[in-house]
Amino acid sequence: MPRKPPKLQHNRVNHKREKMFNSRIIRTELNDRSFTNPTIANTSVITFNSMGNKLDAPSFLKSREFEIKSLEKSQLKSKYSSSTRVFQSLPRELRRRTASHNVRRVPKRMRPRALKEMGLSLNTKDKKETKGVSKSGKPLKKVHSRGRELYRLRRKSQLLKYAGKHKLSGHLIDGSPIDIKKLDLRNRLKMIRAQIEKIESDRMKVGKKPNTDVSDDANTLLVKDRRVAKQAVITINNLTGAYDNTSVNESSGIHRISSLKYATRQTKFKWLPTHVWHAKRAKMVKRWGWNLVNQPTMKCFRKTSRSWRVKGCIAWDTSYFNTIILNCASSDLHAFEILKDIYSHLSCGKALKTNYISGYKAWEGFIHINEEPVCVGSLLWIRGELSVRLVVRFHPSVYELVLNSLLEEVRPYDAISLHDCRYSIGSITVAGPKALYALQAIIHCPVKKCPQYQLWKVFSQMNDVNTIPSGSCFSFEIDDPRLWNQHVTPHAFKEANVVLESLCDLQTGNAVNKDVLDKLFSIEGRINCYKNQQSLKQLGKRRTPERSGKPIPRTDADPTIPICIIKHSNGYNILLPWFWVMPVWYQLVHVPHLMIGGMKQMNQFAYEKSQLSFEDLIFTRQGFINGRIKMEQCSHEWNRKPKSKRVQYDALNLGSETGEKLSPFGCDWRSFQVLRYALNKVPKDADNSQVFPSEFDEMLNRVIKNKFDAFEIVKDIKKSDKGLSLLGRSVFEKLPVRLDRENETVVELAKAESYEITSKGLPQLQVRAIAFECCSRGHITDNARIYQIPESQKSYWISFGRKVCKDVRGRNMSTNQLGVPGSEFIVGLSTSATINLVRGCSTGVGFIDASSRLCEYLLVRNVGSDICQVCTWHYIVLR
Amino acid sequence: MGVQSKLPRVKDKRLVKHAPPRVYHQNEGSHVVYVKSSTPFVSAIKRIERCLDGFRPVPNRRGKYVAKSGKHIKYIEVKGMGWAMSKVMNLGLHFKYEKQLKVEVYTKTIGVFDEFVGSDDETFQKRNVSSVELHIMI
Repeated sequence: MPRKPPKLQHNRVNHKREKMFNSRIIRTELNDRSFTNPTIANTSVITFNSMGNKLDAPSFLKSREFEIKSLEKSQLKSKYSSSTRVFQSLPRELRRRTASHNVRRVPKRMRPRALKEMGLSLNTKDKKETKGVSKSGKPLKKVHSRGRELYRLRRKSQLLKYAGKHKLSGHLIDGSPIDIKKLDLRNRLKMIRAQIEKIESDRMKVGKKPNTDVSDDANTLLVKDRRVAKQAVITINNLTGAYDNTSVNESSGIHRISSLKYATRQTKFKWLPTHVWHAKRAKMVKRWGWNLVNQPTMKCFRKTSRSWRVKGCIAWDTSYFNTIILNCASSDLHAFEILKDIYSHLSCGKALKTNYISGYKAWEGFIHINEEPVCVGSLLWIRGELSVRLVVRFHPSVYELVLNSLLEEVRPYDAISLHDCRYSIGSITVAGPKALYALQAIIHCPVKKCPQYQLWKVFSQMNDVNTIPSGSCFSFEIDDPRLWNQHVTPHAFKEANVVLESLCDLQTGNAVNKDVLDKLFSIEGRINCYKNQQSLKQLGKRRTPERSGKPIPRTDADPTIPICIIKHSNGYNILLPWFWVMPVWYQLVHVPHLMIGGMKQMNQFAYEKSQLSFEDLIFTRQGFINGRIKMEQCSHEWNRKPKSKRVQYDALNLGSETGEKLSPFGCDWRSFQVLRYALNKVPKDADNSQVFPSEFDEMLNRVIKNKFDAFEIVKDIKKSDKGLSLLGRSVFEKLPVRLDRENETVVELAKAESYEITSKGLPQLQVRAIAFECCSRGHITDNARIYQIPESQKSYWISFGRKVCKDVRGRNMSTNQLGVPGSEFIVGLSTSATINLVRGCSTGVGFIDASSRLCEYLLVRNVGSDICQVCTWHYIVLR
Repeated sequence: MGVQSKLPRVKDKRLVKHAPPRVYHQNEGSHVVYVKSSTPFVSAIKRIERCLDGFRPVPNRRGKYVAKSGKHIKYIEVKGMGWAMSKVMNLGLHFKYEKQLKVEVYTKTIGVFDEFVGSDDETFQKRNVSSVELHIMI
């Protein structure tokens, strides 16, 4: 068929001009028939029809209607015609930064129009090109190597250097000399590779030998597990290279080099199983020995808020949460008791309830080490017929602390083994109303009559934000989700009554298959689940064209994956073997209306629910350090600015005071502690009317006579802390604050005589977590100061809080006029606060001194501002 | 059907209420409004009116008149249970008499799941809650 003749170029220009002209034109009726001017005006008899200059109302209206419509139309036309490009109509997920000049970034159906907009056409013979794109829409060859290519070249040059080094020294890695003159470079690289392979195979031989070295204790659990773990690392039973990487009674690491080319990767910071997928779509950050997702590239504050509570769902790869499994035989009662003790200590006795100890539910809360909360984590107790397992999942920031403390407890006993599954058990978290739907859409059980799976299916298509109780557990085996081309629509929703019955069933542990849990949490089970794991290529071969749209038929050789799904307060947590995370993730992200999240979204999620996120845990050491780092960074940035461009915090006029008393760069808990204890020492009859010169005792410590001395002492301690840290001594052996969870009881501050105000002599300050909400408009930000309302001004402020105070026009009055209370009324600091899209106003989370007595309202002031906001507040109940 | 007697109280345990089970629909927001006891009356009215607006035809980019939320939905559902029922009824009255729209009222019973958290164990029970549903015809 002959091709259509190409259009001439000037036609394109004309087309554009025509389009522009059409969009600007507004059609009107030039011959308006509503004004009649009959020619027979001089007739003697004037009838209605022959009357001159009358208005024909119906046609007049019709005419105006037409004009108004055409005006509206032309407005729309000019809005959409020239100013829009085709990719602007795409949803945000499908937009790409380079779509404006690279048509390959635009979906195929839109490409012809996109090319047209760029002044190109697939059919023209001209050689015109836009930036980076050839006329056929393909990107031009890059001038410089970038990305992967650059990496490849660098690796090549490094390898050459490596080979060169051996050439100079004249021997190989193990020291055996070589005659390099006879070898070319390729041969030398081959030799290196061959040596590595030999070392690997030698290792394998050692692993396969029946253990001769520990024949005496071969029956103890620990020795057995060690042997199995050693074997697991070298066993590869699939083409994808999946293996189980567990360490027994020691910290695990990724030591195995899968490819020489990428030997330098993941040396310091390990990757999540989905790292490569995420690195293209999110901003990554290096923390706690991991390369983690900080936030998606796309702006998503509003979308996150909607996704977790209105529609859609959010998914996180939470494989960086560490998993440690403690095992013992169920027949060994002594070991069992020790394990139970550890379980009790970790949860501070809170997980000993019947539901948790029977293994029906997973416990979630603060993990305690030496009776101190260290992080948020979860515990799962599994008591099988043969073995007892305690699964501990916790935040990576305290990995070494928790691992070492558990090792210390476990080491004396051979009957208990500790599996560090940091790199062998991964997890995915899905939260939001569509979370269950999304999971049901990709999870398929090979055994159709599996009772656990049947129970799971009852909740299909359920809109679940808090219908299923937190801690509920499901466990069953699933098929490789990649056997299905795409996600499927879950089964129809069962009747509400059936669902309620099933909810009760769920609480009695009917959804937990202990055999599956055994497979998931044992090394052998995980090795088996990788057996014959299919690569994408293998799956592609099995996918025949005649079965398009249908799943690949399952064979007996296909493995099943043991999984455990736990409902936590932050969504559904799926635990699965490490090398199955990526296949499941890849299917999951193709479910519509699912967005990906990073750590920032996790914090936002907690904040919007008025719960504490990792950033708020200032009473744990890691959280406290995190806060100090943020403070230093903020102060560093402030110092870098020229003087004229930065807020002068010292000159801030705060009513009776000048300047911020606590550090303006963050939540300065140390100064807050000093301030509260120093104010406690101010005598009740002190003269606070004016500043007197301070007095000092014989140790050159300031004597507190009035509140101004207390403010000065904050600075003294700051200096003294700095001096100590310069001397290399640790200042914060004890954290300045301690969490007090008994919200009902009133705590008294220590008596003034019982402590000295020195860097080391201050007792910890008890704080309580609160959530507050602004009564009126106003934007509260992080690090805001929380004030108690002074007795003298109580009635004013409360009337503002209750919105009784109105101006002449009946509007709520601004609080600008009321000023700021003195620093002696500071009772706390806010760790995170901003506009809350759930509440529609500013809310925040913070900590207050447990000894402060507050009324139903409190005042909150942003750093660097002289306006206070009235807020209602309540304690946060912590588990 | 007789009146059901009240469920016995569970002492010394904290009640954790759970939302009633319901199906997930992606576009539910365009035609279903859930009212709870803390929803302000005027906010609920505005929300319903925004739903109604979605079904009014407006010119699209080609100047054609099209409703944003489609044309298959016949009515807007307003749902409330327990304490919120009187608010829902008032909303019905508002749309019937102030806005002159056709309103249908349905009564229902909804089962919910209660969790009682004690110091050493947790118990569960089902409970029935009354509910009203309005159909405001578009």
